[in-house]
Amino acid sequence: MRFRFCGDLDCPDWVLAEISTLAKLSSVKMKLLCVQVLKDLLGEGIDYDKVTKLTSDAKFESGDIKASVAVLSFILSSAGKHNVDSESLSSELQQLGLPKEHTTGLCKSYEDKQTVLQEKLRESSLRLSRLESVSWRVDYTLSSSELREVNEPTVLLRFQVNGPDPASKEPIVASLTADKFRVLLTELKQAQVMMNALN
Amino acid sequence: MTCFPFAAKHPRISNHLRCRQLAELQRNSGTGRLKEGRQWKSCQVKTGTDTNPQPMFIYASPNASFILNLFVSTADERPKKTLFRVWLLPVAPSKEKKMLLVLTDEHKEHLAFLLEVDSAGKLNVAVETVQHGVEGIMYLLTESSKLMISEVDFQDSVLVLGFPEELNKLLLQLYLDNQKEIRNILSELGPNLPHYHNLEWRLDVQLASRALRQQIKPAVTFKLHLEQNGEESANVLQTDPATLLHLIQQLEQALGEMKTTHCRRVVRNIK
Repeated sequence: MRFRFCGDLDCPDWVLAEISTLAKLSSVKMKLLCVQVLKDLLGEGIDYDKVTKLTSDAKFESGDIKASVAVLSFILSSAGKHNVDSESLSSELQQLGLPKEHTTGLCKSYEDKQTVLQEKLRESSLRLSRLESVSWRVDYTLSSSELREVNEPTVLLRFQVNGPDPASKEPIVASLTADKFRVLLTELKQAQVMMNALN
Repeated sequence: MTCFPFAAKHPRISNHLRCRQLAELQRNSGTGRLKEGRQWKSCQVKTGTDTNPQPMFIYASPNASFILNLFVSTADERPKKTLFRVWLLPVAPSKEKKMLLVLTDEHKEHLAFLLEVDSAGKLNVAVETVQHGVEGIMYLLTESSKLMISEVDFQDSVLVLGFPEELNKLLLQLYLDNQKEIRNILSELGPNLPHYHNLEWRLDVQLASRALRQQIKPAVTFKLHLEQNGEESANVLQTDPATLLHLIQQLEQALGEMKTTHCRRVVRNIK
């Protein structure tokens, strides 16, 4: 059975197993649990005390709590990943055996936060190094030990780059003559034109 | 004495086998030990309409030649259509061999302090003796858990120390209660290689470069997160789609190795 929210693949066995655990919760509690899990996916942290309170009615043990949080975060993140709209998600979840009220609650919370979730997922995609800031300075050299009258402008550029590890932040400093800088500027402008054409 | 479950369910064998089994059991229980050493026996036996080509594990006992007679006699009555091999395996060593922990004199001395607890529960001995005693108990428990010694063997090993009966019982109880946990901890002490933690990937297409415009060059970039002894490391790797497909094919071949008959046989024997 192929499911769109699993990326047109089979649904993993553990998801099928845990959907029956989810069905033990009442639909209101499940909607609140979804809200908590969405907060966690958006990076705002999860309040485990609230989760424990929500699941205490259904007498979930710690293994069950972990399983229900895991299955909800899998469903919501893969739905966001594969850009599934909430109606298809709702029909697929009902096919898997999640009761109707639970499905409507889940899809409603998903729909509310879909764009924000996808933005967050886009941001956390793999990126090797990021340019954080650029600072520049133009100097004018008057004279040097080699030549008495130099009279040349120089540009000093400093790129602040965040490397692939979160810890490495290296500044890259370069100084360029006017001609070199002109070449650099032309090439970068051509690249910008190409990027705008794609957008 | 063990008999594999398949044998009991096979219609032709079950009755005969059970009678023979009981007879063997009665014969052997008198001596307390199985007489002969282990033997491998494998032969081809003709049988009736069974078309299942996989070997069927029938019995486990050193001398099971009566089973061969069983097959030959019943097979004669029916048309001989297929062949299958009967593998006779030796009994698992833990049920036959006697495993005793060998405790050196030093160990016996160290554990002897256990007798010196007075009625108030206080130990009137030096710090060193207590330390040696604790180490002695630790050694006893870890070695027993490591070797998976049965209760009988543990009791016999402890008898050597000459302790009163209730102390032996206590030690046995301690061993049985904590055996699983000790084995869990011991299993984590082996040498550790970096293992998989997380894999991030992205698919890029290079459209142009300073030297050449209007290109199409897809590339896949991975960041493989590994963990070893609590330290995390990340490797960045890049490949083109053709190499990626080759990589996937090789890994699937590796997974498929588990399904070959050779691997299946090994796994079955381990279980």
